[in-house]
Amino acid sequence: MHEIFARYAENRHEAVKKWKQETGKKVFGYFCCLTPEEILYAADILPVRITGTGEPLQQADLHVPPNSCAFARSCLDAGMRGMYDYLDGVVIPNSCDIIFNMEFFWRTLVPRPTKPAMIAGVDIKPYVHYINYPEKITGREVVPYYVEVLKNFKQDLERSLNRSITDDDLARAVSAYNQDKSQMKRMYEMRKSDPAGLSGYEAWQITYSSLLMPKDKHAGILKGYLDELESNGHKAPEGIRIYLSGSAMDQVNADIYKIIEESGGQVVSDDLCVGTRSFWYPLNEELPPLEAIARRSLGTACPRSTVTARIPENRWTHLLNTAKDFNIEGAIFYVLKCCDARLGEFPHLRDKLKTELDIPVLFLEGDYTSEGVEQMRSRVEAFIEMIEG
Amino acid sequence: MLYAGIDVGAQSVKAALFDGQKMVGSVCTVTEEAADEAARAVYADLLQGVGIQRQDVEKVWATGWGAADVSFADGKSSEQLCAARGARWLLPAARTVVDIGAEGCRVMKLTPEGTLEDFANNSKCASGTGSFIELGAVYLKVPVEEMGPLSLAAEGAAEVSSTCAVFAESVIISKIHEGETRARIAAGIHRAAATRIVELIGRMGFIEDIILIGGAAMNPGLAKALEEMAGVPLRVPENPRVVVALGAAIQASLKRSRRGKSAS
Repeated sequence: MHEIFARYAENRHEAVKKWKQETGKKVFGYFCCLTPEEILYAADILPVRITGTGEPLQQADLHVPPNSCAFARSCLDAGMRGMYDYLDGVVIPNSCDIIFNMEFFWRTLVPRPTKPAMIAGVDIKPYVHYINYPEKITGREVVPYYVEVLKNFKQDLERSLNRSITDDDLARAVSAYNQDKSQMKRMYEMRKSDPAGLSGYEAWQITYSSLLMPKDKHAGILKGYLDELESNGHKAPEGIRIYLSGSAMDQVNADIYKIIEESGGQVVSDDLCVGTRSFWYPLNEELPPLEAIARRSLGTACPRSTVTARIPENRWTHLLNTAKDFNIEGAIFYVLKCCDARLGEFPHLRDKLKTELDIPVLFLEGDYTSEGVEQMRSRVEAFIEMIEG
Repeated sequence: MLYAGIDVGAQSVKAALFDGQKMVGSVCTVTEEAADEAARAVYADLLQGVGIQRQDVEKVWATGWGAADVSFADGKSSEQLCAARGARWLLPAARTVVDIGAEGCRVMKLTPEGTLEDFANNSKCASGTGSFIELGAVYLKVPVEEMGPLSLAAEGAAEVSSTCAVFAESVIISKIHEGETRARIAAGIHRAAATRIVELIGRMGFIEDIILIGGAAMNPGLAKALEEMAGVPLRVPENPRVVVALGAAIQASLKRSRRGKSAS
């Protein structure tokens, strides 16, 4: 594995802090793959995805009820404990029901490095930015509405940073993001072969670090690394080809990839937000940049619970195409407890997978601890053995 | 040719010997030792009981929670697969296997040909397992073997929560204080455990024939509660505890070589 990707996967906070110290640039945290992070990049900011710790909560449990997503609670806890003290701002879109509440929690509970700039009761330099991602993501009015939302967000950023974000800046960001997306796609293409060109865990490390590094830098390193893998004919250990679906897959529960591999399987594709959803949808460079960003964000097939259609067709389409293109032999749904968005769509996707594609499905209920992941081992082994027959 | 299967469970270690045609011997011992030592002791008992030597056994196959720790095994398979193999051998018409152990409950769905098609496990909760009933026995001050017969003698059943073994505990205590008969409480405990298990059977579709195995299958109270709640008959084999071990032995006889796993 490339040591830079491994370094980011092993200790994300240290890696990002080091980058910040070396470059002197600003770092913003964000939740959710719907975030228009391209705008941050255009403003010379490094957007990094916020993840939790998997440790017992120290502070957040006083504020967030225990029957809500353990990942979101852990993220907030990390913020309250000061683990994200290097962030210069936070962006929270209206995605799933718990994440959109994070705007309030983060604003009121997490210490901020800068003082609010209050004018007429309004903080004109907010630390926490809220993106009013539309409830309804289809229909004629949606794109113009969301472009307006992004325009306001851009202006908020410009005020906070005392700089302007030009269309050229945005176009540069769109192009950098597309470059990284195409390298990421190429990495996934390499996993279509049998055995896959990269293991599921390696692919996860690369994907995870793409959410913590500037995209141009990531694209460059990844290109070199993939060239090298291709030229020396690198292959992942052989195994039953697994599709992994689930909630936020960060450093706390990524061991599931290793457990699957050790049980005789190999994850070859997924529909995770730290996975395909972070890069699958390219930006249209023909469009005005803000519209391209808006369309990419709206087109991302995320199972957030606030969409109008309970089970959007795009979720199934992605699964169906992936199952065929990647020759999937089994699907593992590793869903965190209380992840309403995922749990709501699961029975539908499971039944369709079984009836239409005859692909067996294993459901694992995660609790966002690494011990919890280890307890899944025997069921994963049994599942893979069942497919082997 | 002889094949041995060793099932290292949460509470007991089971071993069975299979000669390709029939089960020639079996042992079940409750153990508190580490998995490997316990498995060695139980295996030695098995061989001694049948009167054969180690070298007479072609292959030893491990399964169960502690399967990975059985150092002398030639290979291991999941308890789901072994349960399916063992149950199918005992009851060729079996399509659903319900395996209730001390700490785990598994329901396996088999294809008409007998291969494993799907399975459902209890998650991190012990309600719906043998230890749930044992816990009830402790509070009722009844030996665990008598829990089943006691519950069968009851008229109706007391309400006992099935959501959590710890909550159920406080319900049992308060029922005792309220003056409920022990028989009705015992019946309630069995119904509570059965609720959880029937949920898992339901997920696998209630496909008959259903065979009930595992230590808890020896409890007639649980079998009755399950039949009533599932609304379908359940078949209990003669020695339900060793079915998974037998399945492991059958698995050993089927396996020519171990599938190449990744070097990890």
